[in-house]
Amino acid sequence: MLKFIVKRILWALVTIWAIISITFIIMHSIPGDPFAREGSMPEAVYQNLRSFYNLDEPLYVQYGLYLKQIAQFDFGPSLKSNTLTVNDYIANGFPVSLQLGAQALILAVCLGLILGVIAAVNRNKWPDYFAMVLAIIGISVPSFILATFLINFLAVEWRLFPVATWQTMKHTVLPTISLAMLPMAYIARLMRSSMLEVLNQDYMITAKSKGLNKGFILIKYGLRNAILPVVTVLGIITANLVTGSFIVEHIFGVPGIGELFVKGIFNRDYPVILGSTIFYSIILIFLILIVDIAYTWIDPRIKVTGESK
Amino acid sequence: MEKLLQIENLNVSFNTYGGEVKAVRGVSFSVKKGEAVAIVGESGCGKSVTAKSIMKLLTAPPAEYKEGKILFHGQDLLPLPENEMKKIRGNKISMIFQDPMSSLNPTSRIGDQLIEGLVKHNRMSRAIALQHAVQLLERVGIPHAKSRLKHYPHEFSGGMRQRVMIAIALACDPELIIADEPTTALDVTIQAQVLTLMKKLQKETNTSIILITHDLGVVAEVCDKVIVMYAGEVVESGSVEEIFSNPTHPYTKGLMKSIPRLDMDRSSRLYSIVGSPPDLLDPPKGCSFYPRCEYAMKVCKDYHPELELVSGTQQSSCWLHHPMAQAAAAKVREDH
Amino acid sequence: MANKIQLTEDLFTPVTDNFKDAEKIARPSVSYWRDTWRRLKENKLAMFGLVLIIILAIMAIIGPYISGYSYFEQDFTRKNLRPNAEHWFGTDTSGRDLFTRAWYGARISLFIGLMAATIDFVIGIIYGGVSAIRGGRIDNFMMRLAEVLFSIPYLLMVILMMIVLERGIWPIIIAMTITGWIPMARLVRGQVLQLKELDYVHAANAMGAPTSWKLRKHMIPNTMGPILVNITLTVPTAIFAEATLSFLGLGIPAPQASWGTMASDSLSSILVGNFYQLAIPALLISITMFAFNVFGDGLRDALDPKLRN
Repeated sequence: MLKFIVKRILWALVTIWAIISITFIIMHSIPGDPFAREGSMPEAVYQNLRSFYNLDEPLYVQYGLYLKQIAQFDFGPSLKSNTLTVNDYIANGFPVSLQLGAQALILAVCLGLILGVIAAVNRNKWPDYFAMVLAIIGISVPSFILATFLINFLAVEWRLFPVATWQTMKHTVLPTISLAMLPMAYIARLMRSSMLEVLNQDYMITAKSKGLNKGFILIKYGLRNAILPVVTVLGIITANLVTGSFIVEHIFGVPGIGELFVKGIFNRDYPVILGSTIFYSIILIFLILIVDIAYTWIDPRIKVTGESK
Repeated sequence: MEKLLQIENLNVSFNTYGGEVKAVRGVSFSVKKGEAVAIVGESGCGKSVTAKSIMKLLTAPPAEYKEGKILFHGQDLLPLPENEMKKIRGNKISMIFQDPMSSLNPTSRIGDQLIEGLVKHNRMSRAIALQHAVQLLERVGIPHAKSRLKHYPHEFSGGMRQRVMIAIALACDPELIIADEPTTALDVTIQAQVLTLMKKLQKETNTSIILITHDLGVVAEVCDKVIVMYAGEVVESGSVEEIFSNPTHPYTKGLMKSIPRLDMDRSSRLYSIVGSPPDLLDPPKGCSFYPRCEYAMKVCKDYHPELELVSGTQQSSCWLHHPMAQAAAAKVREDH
Repeated sequence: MANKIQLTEDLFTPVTDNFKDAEKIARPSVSYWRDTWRRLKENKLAMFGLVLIIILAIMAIIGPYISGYSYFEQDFTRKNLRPNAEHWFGTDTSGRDLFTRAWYGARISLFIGLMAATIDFVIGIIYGGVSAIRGGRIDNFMMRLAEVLFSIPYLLMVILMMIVLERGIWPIIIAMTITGWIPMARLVRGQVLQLKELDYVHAANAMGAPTSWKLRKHMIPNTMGPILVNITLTVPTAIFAEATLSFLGLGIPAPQASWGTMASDSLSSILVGNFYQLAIPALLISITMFAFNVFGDGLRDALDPKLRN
């Protein structure tokens, strides 16, 4: 078990290293010089950049120093501000993104599981059709479209919610729904098929033959087994949430890291783009690591062998 | 002896995409207290459906109990509401399934699975139920029972899992245990162990057993009475001695002949019954064994033979027993 | 009851022709693909998806020529017109005909989706096939490499690539396929490895079946199913990614149109009440995603009879 965890952590570090290297390569293959001193760039920013990226050194030294700085969680200065660093931006944006992401994940998982179970138990009846239509809509409608539809109807036309920005809990409702819809649909579909498979298992009949209550059987025998495949995809779902948050935060003007990233793209603020990419990747890999370890804890069959499959 | 279970004219169908599959057609038999009854037949002949019907374990729809009675202590189970059925399942009647690999919940500890019935039916506390569970595991011959309670099913071998299944079935001291091919999925050596165990436990507790199998060797070993099913019907029934010494239905004869024996001539081929059972979407009008029967007569094609007493307690449904069929029956006797 | 019928001695004469009925229940054997097609046809939703895909494809080809307007022609005297007899889908903020633009966009979106799926398929089959057939260390290395690349979120990778690349259709396709082939490669590898171990392939080997026979009778029919499904489901993923890129301003450059750019351009219009400008591309994207998803699902169910009850 311990060996498995150590192996997974090492693997995560390799992946993070690969991502940092890729960002370095991307930085140096951007057409033109990303750090060319444009007219608008203040002298101080330019000097900061030169010293952070060690542009006077040979490329391999630059790479080594870059790795070292990232390892110390120093993402360098921003192109657009001479007072705020990328670290400052991330520090400001992260709590917001974390709240939005957590809200959306909880909503997606809870609703997805419930819909999936309801659909499976009422297979080929109207609750099943209802849940699956909802799931197909969730998968077919991209988040930016859903978000703009929600703004148009719930915020602009009916004025139920504020159009944008991030202040009270009420402001978080529409972004959370927009972000949660796709993973929710995904989980609902997965949970349905997983639950259907479990319902056909022999141990479900064993449970029934013991005279146990239907609800008890559904939870202890059904849910407990059917949830396993859902746990394995939680990593992918989180990745979906992360990338989905770029769009959603941008549309709703949520001051998180996603919006930071998108603004970075619009402003061609490369240090911001790279910094938020690396930060996101680290968070994501860390989350997937947790999911993997959690899985071994939930599925007793894995604990003994210590292998992932 | 008191009749513990009496099944009268049971008809069960499955409503499938292709139409109504008449899986069980007019099955009647009874089980006395302490008796071990075997139901034998090929796969798909309705054995399992009959067994699951007794506990009403079939999901309806697609299953439908069309007709008949299942009398347990004289009370008909078929019209009984789910709530009442729950009190009988696992408590008065319990079941052992074919594949011990898939019949236990993989994500739940053996101990938990053992005590569920006790907690539900006997209203035991968890602690007391767990003590009881240790005794149960010891009874079915699982060593280190106490520490094994904390283990998960995948940590047991196939034979051990089937022992756990038997322990679960025994938990509430049921009056009837239905064992649906309990040894089919096990290795041959393990099969013998499990059978011996079941036989021993049955003697100790005087529980009635319905043993479903396609293995006639198992039947001779454990049971008192045999019911032969074919295409959803009972074609022959009687005591073990009667059936083994004098099978009267051509199907039963065929089953007997298909058992490999040590005293067989090495050059002779093992007997097998030609063809496969009929499609129960559209069961034949006459005798359902007609297309595969060596002794078929014209009458068999269109007229359905009734189950009739042939001798002692032995019943058989075959036109060969009809007074007019003496010529054909004589030929059958010649063959044997 | 039978006894009440008049039985005659004649009825009790033995017959010998009864055996001919013994095997009559055996159904005629149907080839794998024909059987798949039959099951697919029974799935109403999947067939609906297929019909939608065909309609979309036809409209992508002929749609831009129907209204007589070009996709780039601006006419500021006729801007922001609601759908009417002259402009069936209305006009945009620059007075361009939305009907022509919508189908021109369909052409680009579908082209990108299909090309991305095809390239993923080709790279994936080569990489996965080589990895599985060579096995051992090479397999281990190739799969580890794929795993590292795959742990970078897909959309993040595409966006990063688009920062480096110029804007246009082919750069988008390249950005999408740079890590997009990985799921296909893993799938192909898994299929081939699994097949190598299957009993019927062992049986074919034991009987000395020629390689071409094994390929035709065992390998291709049994690997093509999941691969085909994967291709079908790659198309909507690519269309989705393109729409998101365009939405972030990293997509197709103006005046060319894709559904993503159309949706992005109309974002400001919804605040002034021109909701139809967003609704048209939004609906088209959603319908396409829906069509490919339900068709892919149906295909998967049809190819795997075990999944059906």
